[in-house]
Amino acid sequence: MTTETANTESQAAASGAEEELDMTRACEIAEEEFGKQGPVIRVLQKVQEEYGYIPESWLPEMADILEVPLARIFGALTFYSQFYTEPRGKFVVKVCVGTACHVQGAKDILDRMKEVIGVESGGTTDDRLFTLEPVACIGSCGLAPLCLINTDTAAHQSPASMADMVQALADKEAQGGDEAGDEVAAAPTAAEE
Amino acid sequence: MNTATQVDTITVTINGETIEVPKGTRIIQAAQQLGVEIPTFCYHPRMLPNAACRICTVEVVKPMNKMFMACSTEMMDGMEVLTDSPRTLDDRRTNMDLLLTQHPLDCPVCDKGGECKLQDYSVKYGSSENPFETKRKDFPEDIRSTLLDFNSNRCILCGACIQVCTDIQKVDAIGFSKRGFITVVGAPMGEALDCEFCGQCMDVCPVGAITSRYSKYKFRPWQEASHQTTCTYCSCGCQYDLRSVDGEVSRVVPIEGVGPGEGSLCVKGHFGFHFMEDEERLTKPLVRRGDKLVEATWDEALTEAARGLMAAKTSGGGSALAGYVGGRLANEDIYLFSRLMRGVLESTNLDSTLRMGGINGVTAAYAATGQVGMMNSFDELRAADVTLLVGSDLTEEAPICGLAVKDTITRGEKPVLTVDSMRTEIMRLGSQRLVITPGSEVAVIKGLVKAVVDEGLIDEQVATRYPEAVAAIRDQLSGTYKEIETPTGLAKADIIEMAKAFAAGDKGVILAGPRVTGGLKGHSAFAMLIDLAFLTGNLSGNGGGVNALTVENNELGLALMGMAPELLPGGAPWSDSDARQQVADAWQCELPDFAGLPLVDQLEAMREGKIKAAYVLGTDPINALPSDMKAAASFGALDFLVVQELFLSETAKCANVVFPAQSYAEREGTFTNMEGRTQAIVKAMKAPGKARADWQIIMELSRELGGPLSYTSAEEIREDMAQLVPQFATLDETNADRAGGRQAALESYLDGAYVADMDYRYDLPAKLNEASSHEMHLYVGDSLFHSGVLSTHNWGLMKIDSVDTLVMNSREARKLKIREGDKVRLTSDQGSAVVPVKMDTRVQPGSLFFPKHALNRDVTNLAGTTISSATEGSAPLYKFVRVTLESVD
Repeated sequence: MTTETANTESQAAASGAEEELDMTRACEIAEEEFGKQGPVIRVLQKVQEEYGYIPESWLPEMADILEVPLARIFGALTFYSQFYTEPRGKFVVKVCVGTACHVQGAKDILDRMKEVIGVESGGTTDDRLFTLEPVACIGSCGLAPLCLINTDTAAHQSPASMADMVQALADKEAQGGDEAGDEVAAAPTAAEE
Repeated sequence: MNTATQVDTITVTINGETIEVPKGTRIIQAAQQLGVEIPTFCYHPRMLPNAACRICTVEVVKPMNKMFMACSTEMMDGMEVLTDSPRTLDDRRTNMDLLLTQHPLDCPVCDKGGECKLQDYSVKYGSSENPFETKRKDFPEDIRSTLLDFNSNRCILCGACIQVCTDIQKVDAIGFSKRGFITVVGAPMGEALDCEFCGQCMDVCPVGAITSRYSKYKFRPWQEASHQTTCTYCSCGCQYDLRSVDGEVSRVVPIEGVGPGEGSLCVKGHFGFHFMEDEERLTKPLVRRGDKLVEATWDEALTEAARGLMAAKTSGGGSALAGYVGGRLANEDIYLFSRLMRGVLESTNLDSTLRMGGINGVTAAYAATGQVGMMNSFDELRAADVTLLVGSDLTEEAPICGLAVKDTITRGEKPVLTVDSMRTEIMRLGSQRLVITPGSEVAVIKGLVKAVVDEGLIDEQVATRYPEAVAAIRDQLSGTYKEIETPTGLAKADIIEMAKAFAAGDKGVILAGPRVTGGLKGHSAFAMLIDLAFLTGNLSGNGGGVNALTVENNELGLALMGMAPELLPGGAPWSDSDARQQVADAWQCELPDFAGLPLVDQLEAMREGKIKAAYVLGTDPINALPSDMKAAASFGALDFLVVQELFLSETAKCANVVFPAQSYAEREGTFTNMEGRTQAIVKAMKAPGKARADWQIIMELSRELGGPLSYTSAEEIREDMAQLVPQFATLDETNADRAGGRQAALESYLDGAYVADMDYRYDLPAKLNEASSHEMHLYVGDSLFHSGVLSTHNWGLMKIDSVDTLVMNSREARKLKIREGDKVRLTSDQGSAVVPVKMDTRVQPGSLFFPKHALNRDVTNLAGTTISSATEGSAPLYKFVRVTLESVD
């Protein structure tokens, strides 16, 4: 029960931050999908594409627009791990920890990434530059050990090569960044309902 | 659906026994017919198979050899199934083992213990050793909601609770969240559950994952006594099992498949079982000594009451007496009261809460069909092809009738058309809606009839068979749509579109709520709806019909017992001299040929000293009526007042004698629900103190007065009643079962009185929606969590909803910078009231809603009561009020 208070506090803090977020575009997306067959997943994906994540506090509005019960939206949102309810980094580093990558040393890469990026699995850096995520099989076992940075594939990696790549991105960003990095991770369009 | 008439049957074999079943029968249904039990957690007879729990897996040996789920597999001709083969039992055991890897063994403290399917199946089909690794969940129990606790550790994720919430209740208050081992069921966003609290999720839960706080740790199923009885909160008349432990109510349990609700209950029936045990219940008779009411013996109180009533009769005859009854009373009580007042005390001034509008549904329906109450049963509502709901917030006023309409949406995918000034739940779920200016129901109804006539939507058979009746209606509708568009705020095209949608359905059902019958022209409005059904062929016995929705528990019983000056037992008008003579013969008394006074005139006669004594049962007019009706002054002017109640009501406080009555749970009797179905109540618990059954008190008073009433049981009274009103002879029969008699009456009506009745029907009232300096429309009406006074004596329901809150449109509130909980002042021509505000999209901008049960005097007194004309039921109209709203700092 002690965690409950902590949760409420962090939720309050999060919703405080979300209030500044302009959800107009999200509402437009929902309105475009209203009345179409099975709109929930599509709207969630598009909103995530637009904002990088799906602010939970917006869901009641989404339910109103789509005339879909909030319970069903929330169920879909929390079912799929591809949906994020917290802000994510500009670069999402995904380390595959599936069987093939595992035997090729994925754990070492993941551990090194935790050091370099400075967050635990699933965490995002305070400057919202990096998010680190172990993922189950990406389906390209021939490229093991495999990582993804946003949608770019990085095949046959080692802890050192990944560390270099991440460092390079961080450096580039410190110098003002470039166009390539502005493409925020799009959620892979996997299993629909 | 067309093939439904020629049902194909197939022959199937289960465990070697062969049976013929209709095509489409699923394995579990066929097994049930053979009395073969197949275990199941998620299957529910009223819902489509969810096939989630997989415990029902059985072995099919022919035509293929495979394991199939019994709940979802439709049988094929020649199919052979084994439900107890080694392979089936082996699979079942594995399923049990897998479920028990996670389920905690906290049965000793689980409310479900003793009636838990998991427990039972574990004994029957489980093994003593589990080959799988156990992994317990460790979620804290969610006890944040007022009523329902969620223990996710016990949950087996069968999904039945979510399905009942989505498919039957249709509120989608709960859902799954997350996935896999950490999946939980609950309200979305991790919030506390705050829903309609029908409790059906708990009812269908096969384990103890959802439990009621109101019953927690208070019972073990095997300790409970069980009593099937009838719910008294509204006119739906649901059947349930009232359970008690040592004479104290432990809980209410629905009975699957039984009664109007088929096993569904609403929050009031399910959790409002505390009023019987409320400390404020009257336990002893009270008599007035000076300005105080003091406790007395029954003998003292009865003698005093008889003396007071007799004194009035002696000085002014029967017309110096008046009686007023509420819908809480059982049929037997009402019958005896009618005999006492009319037969013994020779008074015709007998009225009831029917006067508030219900009377119009009664008289209009009786004139056309010779019956009172709904023409359709709830079963017919479920089977309707198209439903038209006018002037009713059905899910609040009659929640279980609302479920029947929701069922046409879920199971039948049929259109539901709504006309209302509020954006009701059914309106939001339905297919077509007309949102109207408050109080203009009568105009829309006229518009719909006009559209049917003008657009050539009249049923061909009706047009050929009844040309005169059709012509009579057509004559009334020569005007333009202008007189309809202006007061309702609607466009002609929308009205026509809805009329077309209604006429398109084969079986069209019309439901008319209190805002139709309780309107300025309530009788005419309902009669026009009968015309609408007639013209579209829905009075031909096709399963369609027109239905007045009654609000109070036994409102139909009041009508059937003729509890209004213009009515006789059976629903016939008082002016019908043959019917009157029949009653007089049965009662061996004289009945005068003049009708008595309706409530409003009674009140005036009291103030003028013409009525000197009154007897009030089961209703509290002083508290319920707005002050401009001067109820307090009227009853105060009496020489003598007798009140019979469960609680010391405001009216009781003015009485000379107060009789303590027994509640529905403490006595025998019957209630008649809105479908015309008469159902029994039983003695389930001891009455508090010396309270007696209403019929008993009336009988004893009659004895004191030298009257002839003498019965030993409620059953005996009912036998007597059945001689006058035959439908009391059979229990559990709806008006739909009596369609034959209705058809004959309708034919003779159309041949006779019909055209004459038409004269005033289609004239719209001049006062409809007239201009006012007060811009907003306030409606004081029924709400889901309460009904009348009883529910406010329920700590359970008061915990869920106790605040007298004004409901206003969310967008409008934001515009006026009013926030939830802020106080606002409402001002009308009569007065002002300060109340807190709640926001909802249920009311439209410009409208306000306030719950009737709250009996907030300031709000009630805002009303400027209009009395509708005698032909429109002499109803006091005070629920719609024009007000100005301003925020209070």
